[in-house]
Amino acid sequence: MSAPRDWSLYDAADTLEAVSHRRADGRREMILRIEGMHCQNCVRHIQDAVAPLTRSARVNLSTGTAELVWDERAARASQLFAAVEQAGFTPGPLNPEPSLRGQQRERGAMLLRLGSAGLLGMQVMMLAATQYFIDAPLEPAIELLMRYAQWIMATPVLLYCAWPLLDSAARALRERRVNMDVPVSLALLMAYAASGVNVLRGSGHVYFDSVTMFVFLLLVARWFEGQGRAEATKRLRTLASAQPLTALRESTDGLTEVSSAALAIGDVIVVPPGAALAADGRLLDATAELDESLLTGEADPAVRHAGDAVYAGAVNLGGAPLRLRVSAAQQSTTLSHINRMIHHAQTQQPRVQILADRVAGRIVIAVLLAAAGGVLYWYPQSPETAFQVALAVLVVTCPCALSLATPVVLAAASSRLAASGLLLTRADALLRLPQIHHVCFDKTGTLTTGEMRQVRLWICDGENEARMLEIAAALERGIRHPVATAFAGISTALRAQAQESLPGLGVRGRVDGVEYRLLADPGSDDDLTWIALYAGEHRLARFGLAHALRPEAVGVVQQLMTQGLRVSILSGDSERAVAETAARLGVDDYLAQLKPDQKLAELQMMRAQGERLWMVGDGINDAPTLAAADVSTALASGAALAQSQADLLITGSSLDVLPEALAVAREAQQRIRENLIWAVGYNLAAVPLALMGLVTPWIAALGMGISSVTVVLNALRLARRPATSAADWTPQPTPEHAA
Amino acid sequence: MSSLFVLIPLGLLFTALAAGFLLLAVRGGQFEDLKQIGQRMPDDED
Repeated sequence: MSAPRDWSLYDAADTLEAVSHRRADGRREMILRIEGMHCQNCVRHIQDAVAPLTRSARVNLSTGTAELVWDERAARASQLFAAVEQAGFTPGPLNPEPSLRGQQRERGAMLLRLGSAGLLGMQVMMLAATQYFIDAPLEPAIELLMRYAQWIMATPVLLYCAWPLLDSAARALRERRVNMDVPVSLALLMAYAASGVNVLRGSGHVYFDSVTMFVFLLLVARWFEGQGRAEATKRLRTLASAQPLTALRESTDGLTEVSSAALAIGDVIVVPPGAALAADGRLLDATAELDESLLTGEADPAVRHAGDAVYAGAVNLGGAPLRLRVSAAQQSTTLSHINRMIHHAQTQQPRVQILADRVAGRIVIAVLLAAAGGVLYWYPQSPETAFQVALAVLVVTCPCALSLATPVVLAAASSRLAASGLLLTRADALLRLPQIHHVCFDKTGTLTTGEMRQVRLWICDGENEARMLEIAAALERGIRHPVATAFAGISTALRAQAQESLPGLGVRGRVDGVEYRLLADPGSDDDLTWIALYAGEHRLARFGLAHALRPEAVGVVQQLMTQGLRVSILSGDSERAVAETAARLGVDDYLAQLKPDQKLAELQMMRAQGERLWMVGDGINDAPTLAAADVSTALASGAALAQSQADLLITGSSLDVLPEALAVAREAQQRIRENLIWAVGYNLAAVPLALMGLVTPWIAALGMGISSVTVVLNALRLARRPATSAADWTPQPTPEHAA
Repeated sequence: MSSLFVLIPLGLLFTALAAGFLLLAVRGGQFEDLKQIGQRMPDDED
């Protein structure tokens, strides 16, 4: 192990700001990447190591990261790094470049271990096969040579390839703990030592083939688990690296390239074509085309106008540089919020997981006891059999299949949902979703969009309906106001001159030489927005406008119904407006004119009747109702997204992901169930067989390896996405692409 | 049968050689990015 590193660099104010962020309660939060974690015991060990320094520490095995919250007055960042290092792991800040290199190094070493174990293992098997398949006695000298050759090749497998296992077991034992690597290492060392002794004695069985096969299969399982982990951190890394580390700041002396950490609110930065925004801000240019797919999952370019909010991580798709005034930089950007939210969700341990880990820990102890019992029983009859039984018991059990069963599935499911534009902020929600049988939609802003459409018309006697609409369309052309969207679809040859927007009132302009005004016309008791067209003081027509239904809403509702859910609408709007929306969606259950507290009471009543509720809202006005449901989903964007407390956040602008979320959650539940049944069933069946002496060590090695690989591969099936998907397209040249 | 006295050590040597090449390949970064390589534009320069 190398000398302790000097971590004081991370105490300097600007570096600290780059790797951590200050929370609302004044504490600091930092995400570390940790190399060298293998099992749940490593997790506990790191948690114990940093516990005296931190307020909370959440270590995640499947992403290889730790989320630390600490009080700046009580500890320095460098102490946290040092504590993790002292515990025997390699910490690093979760920054794109260094962690990527660290991960690649770890992956390279793993590949080398796996590859050489396979290579050497094959040779050992070849030589060992002679004792299984050739009946004729071999020339003693040749047999001895073969035994020595096996020994020579098995040695690097044990000492190099299996080193991480031995190291982890030794570390656990030094701290008077047992982990899953303890029985495994014990079996490897016993088999290796006994074989060595037998080679020297020139008689008895050698187990070098079992040793190499066992190491190879364990490494294969670890490899797949590592792939799953890489899959889970992939999106996290893409997000973390999407926010550039430098920016071009505009000042009186021109442009200077500065570290993103140096950006302050109010700075003006320039983003060249093809580059990503380094901070959140307001656009200063007239229009800009941005790729916000990382934030929203939406592949189509977003057109933004002067004054619009633009977000860090979005890519300037236009041909010219764009300028923006910074409103949030560094760890305060929306991207950073999303990043932390994803990570938060991934580091959370669902209750089933905690239970599974506890059971797995007990199994390790039970295995050691069972092996000892086997030896005691068989030893009087045959020391050789007693030894083989002990080996088989130690090797054949697979507590790791049990402890991997849930987390790999959750990691795969959440990474798949994230790619479709749905962020999981609480891992438990994914496990609750399959139990849902009733989904409640909020209407305004959720089933309807911000756009309006014209649903009713009143015409003054003697006027022409089509002409009234055309005049209104001409007056509203080019106006940026929700009301104008209602007339955007009407084509007309008419042109308005001297068009003028009257803020808060409407618009006016001259069409065919006549002065018209289109003004808000309140006073009706229904839920529509009424506007009226005037020529002078004479009212020609009135238009009743309503919010437009999301184009995908009908399909989504139908899909949810075919998936077996009851769908209802809870809204604060008038009876008539809600009834109309419900009818168009084919929904029978709706409740209108609900005040927020009535909505809440309604939900609580349904839950009291045993309903499992999934509430879908816009996340801004309906926080209490979202919190009252079993699973909540918010359709929010931008800053609202970061503040929302929902379990699932739709980052795009479409409800399409809801049926998919349900399908993925159901599939995940299925996978977890299969994995747990398999892991429990396998262990229950294997141990008695091994104790009866029916399992030879090499069969045990094969069974254990297959068992954990099965669990991981079963989970990874979830991460497979339908072939064509816009979200798979990554426009941003992340460091890993650029390298 | 006596040829085995040569062939087994020779097998050991070849295995060691193969392991050495694997080491070089991994160190050289050949396995670092298997997905990206298929999507790269052909490089006509060399």
